[in-house]
Amino acid sequence: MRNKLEAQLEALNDKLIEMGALTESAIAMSIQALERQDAALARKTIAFDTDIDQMEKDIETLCLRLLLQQQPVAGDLRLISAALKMITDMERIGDQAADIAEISIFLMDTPYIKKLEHIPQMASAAMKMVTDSLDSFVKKDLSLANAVIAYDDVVDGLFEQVKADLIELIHADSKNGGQAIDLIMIAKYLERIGDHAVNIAEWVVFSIAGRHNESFQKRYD
Amino acid sequence: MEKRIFRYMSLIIVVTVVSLAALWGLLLERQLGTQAREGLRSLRVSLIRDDGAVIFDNLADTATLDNHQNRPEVIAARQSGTGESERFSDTFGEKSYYYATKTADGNIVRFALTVDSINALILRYVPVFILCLLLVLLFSFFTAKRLTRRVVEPINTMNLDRAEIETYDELSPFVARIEAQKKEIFAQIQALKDRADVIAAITQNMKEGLILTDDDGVILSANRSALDIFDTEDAAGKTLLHICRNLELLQKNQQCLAGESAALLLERNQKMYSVFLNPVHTGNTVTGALLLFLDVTLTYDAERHRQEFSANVSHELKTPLTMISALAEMIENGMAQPEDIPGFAVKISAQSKRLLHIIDNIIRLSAFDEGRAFAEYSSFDLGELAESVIDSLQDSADEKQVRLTVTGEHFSVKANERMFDELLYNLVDNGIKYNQTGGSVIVTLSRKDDSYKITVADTGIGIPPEHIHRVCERFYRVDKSRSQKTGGTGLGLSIVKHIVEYHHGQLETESVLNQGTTISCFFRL
Repeated sequence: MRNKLEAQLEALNDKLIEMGALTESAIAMSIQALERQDAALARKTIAFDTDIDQMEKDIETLCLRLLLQQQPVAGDLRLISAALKMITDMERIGDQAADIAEISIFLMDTPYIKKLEHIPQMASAAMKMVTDSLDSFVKKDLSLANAVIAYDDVVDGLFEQVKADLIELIHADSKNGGQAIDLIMIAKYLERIGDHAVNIAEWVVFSIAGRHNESFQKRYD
Repeated sequence: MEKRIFRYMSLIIVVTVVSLAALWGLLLERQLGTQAREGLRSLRVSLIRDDGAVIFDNLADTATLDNHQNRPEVIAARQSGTGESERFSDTFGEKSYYYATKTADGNIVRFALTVDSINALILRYVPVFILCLLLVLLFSFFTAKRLTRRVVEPINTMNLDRAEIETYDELSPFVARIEAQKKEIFAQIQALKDRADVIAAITQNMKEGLILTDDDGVILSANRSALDIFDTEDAAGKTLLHICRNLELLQKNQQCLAGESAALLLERNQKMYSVFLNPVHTGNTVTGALLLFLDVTLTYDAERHRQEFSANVSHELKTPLTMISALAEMIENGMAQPEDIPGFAVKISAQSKRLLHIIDNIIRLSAFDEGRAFAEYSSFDLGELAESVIDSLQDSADEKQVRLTVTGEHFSVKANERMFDELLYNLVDNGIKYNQTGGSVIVTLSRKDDSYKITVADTGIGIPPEHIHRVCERFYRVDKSRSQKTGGTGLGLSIVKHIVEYHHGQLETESVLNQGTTISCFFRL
């Protein structure tokens, strides 16, 4: 009985990492599509979201089956409940990657008003957060998870920067408005991706330590 | 061992036989005594008349007794004087012995003795026998146990690791054989260990990452380089997914486990790896995969630079050519006014010179690359050379209102004068081109012990930090839109770098954006 539970938990762990790999790829692809104005890649990213959604359903089923059949306790129960929450965040990241790809398709035909500078920086920062949050899950690394949570400030800072850049562009020429709005949405999606990475990191902290991170506590108090 | 077993067996037999004999003797003696006494007590005497009637009996009433005439012993006695017979009474389990003798008067005296039958006797002594048997069994049991223990003990406690094994002679062939096999196994283990050590030493010291997985994709072993590539301390027992979430790698690994070799380029931590995945076959089945990671960052970058270089060369050559071609076409088609033609000629000439200049620079760089640059060294005064370079550039400096100065000491160096002329020319020329109006370029020459330094500092636009390590690349431009304005070819610093390297010197670039750039060249005297 115990062995079966262990095997299923192992499978759950692997599936979570696999889903993480999919979301990581989705963001990387969407950013690349945006930077290179590559419509084919953007479409591929949007199609990729279906795989991520399917993965979410699979993991959810596995979690529910585990809960019903094995009645896990302590660490095992925490892992499963954290997994259930984490897949929601990962699925949202996948959605946002698809959203970015969708907007980048709109932006395909017109050259960028100004060379993208802070958005790629933001993208790599958000990407790093997602990668690190998944790494912290794989390695069960509390300090890395906490580092991800702290890193959110960097992404938030960059968002403010992008916002300032775009305001300046609109000031310079009101014709820039359309593209600026699209870009601010992309920045917002990236900022949200950062937030989801923070959530993942918080669930990692919970599943390892059995308690919530301080910032999480504050947010929900 | 033989002796010991023999001794114990003999002991058991002797003890059993002796004890049984003693018991038997004891019983026999006792039985005989009892029987004699009882015989005397129960002796039956009968006097039988000639006609068979019993006239006296000491134990029975004569009236109840029947005629004894037909008794065998009586018949025998009557005929031959004495007679004997025995009869067994089933009812009493007794045996009676009869003896009859004929007296002188014709009567017969008969003696009868009744003894217990052998069955009864046995029955009587059964408990004693059982007791005796039990004692013997008990004795045999303990002796046998002791024997077994004593015999087996040396075998059990035999220490095969000891050089000399003391045990039974009979076992020595086995011991010798075991000893030989032990040595053989030890030698084989050592050989295997040595081989494993050699393989481990090779794989652990390999710069390339090496990972071996089983058929489920679980990592069996990963060398140091592989662990470094994936920033992990221990990978054994984990799947590839745990150390790398690159989808392409995972997919290719699956393909490899299905029996097909694969390869891919993997980017990780700003490095490029060429990954080769090969299935490991045992017989016809795939039992695992072997993954080799080669760091190809340098090759990859070089390839990228080469591509950029080709693109740049074409671009740099195309711009002046397009202009020349356009102007020439206008003249050809008569679209140009006669008064414009001299102006066009000036432009065509300038662009041709530029083209020639670029091509000249490219040829010179190729010469450096192929190592066939002019190599004559001569002694000359560096200060004088610097001043002559500044003189030749004075006009363009005046145009941009840039002040040129040479400071420091005059000293003689041994180098290729033409190359140094070019080095100084390029550095000062760059200093002027990328300067602000009213700025300055200062050439400082200094000497210390056995080395000297040429420093060219300008007060120009500076180089952004992210570009500083690339400015010596061919055709590399910080701001690509400026090339037309400044007339630079993007090859100047590249040539400078080659000249410095040719003289085994070192080049240092420091720059602050919008404040200026200082380039220092260090050489040995």
